[in-house]
Amino acid sequence: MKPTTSQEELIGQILRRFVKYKDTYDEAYDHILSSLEALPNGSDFRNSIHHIIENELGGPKGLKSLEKQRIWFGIREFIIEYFDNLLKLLTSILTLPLAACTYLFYYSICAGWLNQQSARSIIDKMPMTVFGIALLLYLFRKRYLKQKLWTCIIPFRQTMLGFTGPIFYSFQISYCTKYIRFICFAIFLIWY
Amino acid sequence: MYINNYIFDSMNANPFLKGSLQTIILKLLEDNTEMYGYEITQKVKEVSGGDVLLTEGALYPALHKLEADGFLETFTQVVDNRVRKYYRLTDAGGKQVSNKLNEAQAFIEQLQNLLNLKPAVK
Repeated sequence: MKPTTSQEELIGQILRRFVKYKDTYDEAYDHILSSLEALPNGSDFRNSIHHIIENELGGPKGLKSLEKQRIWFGIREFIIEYFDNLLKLLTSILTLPLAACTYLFYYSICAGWLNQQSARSIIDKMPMTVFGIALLLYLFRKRYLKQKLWTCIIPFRQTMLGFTGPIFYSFQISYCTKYIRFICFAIFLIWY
Repeated sequence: MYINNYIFDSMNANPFLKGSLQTIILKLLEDNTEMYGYEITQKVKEVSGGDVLLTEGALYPALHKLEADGFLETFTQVVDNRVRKYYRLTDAGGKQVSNKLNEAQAFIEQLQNLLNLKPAVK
């Protein structure tokens, strides 16, 4: 049977009662619709939904357990990724030039050019902040700044929906990185 | 009725099937390149002639674990206005298939010996 638009919306509403994260939601939603489409035409919609969610997805308990496990695996993978990239960074030939640039920024520009005591405390931190952001971007450059972290770990139906939607979900990392770089560069120009 | 009055339930899984689930998934993905969750359950049902029913409550955690271990990778496609998540083997996953199959084979032989289902193959 092919569900109607209103039936699809109803399935979405039901799922959102039990599932908070987009990754799990998408997978369960696709599963239910695929299962429904395999049923013969004229099947009772409500009974079919009940059967699929209870018997195939383990009911609300099964969905919550699935989601919980998904989050744990996501966090674990995130930590592994972080240390993997950290190791690569420390053994990379780029580390030395990056550290040298930071040293030059910190001592030549801050200590020499801007020698104002009132602004020093904040300004001193800026090159390190820029370096820190670059380091973080490098550490998480592979997968997680793309999409996964936001779909697995950030609840999609909370009040942040309007925020996480356009920024983290629709945008790919290339755009995000450009924005972050632009913001860093703008801050850098303003301060110096 | 589910929509009005939801009944909480727990999943039951065959322990033999549960123990072999990762092997089954890896083998299916080796044969079929890329598959989504529902497709895997249907394939298992089809291949086993309906004797083995793979519950999604067991399938998805296994898929997620294999993905977290780096044996599977995922990508999404929009199909009929909904997001469909496909799984496929990584290089490490490809190597893991033969390990898992060897393990399964060894286990079956040991089980056959222990239960005297057939003489040990020398």
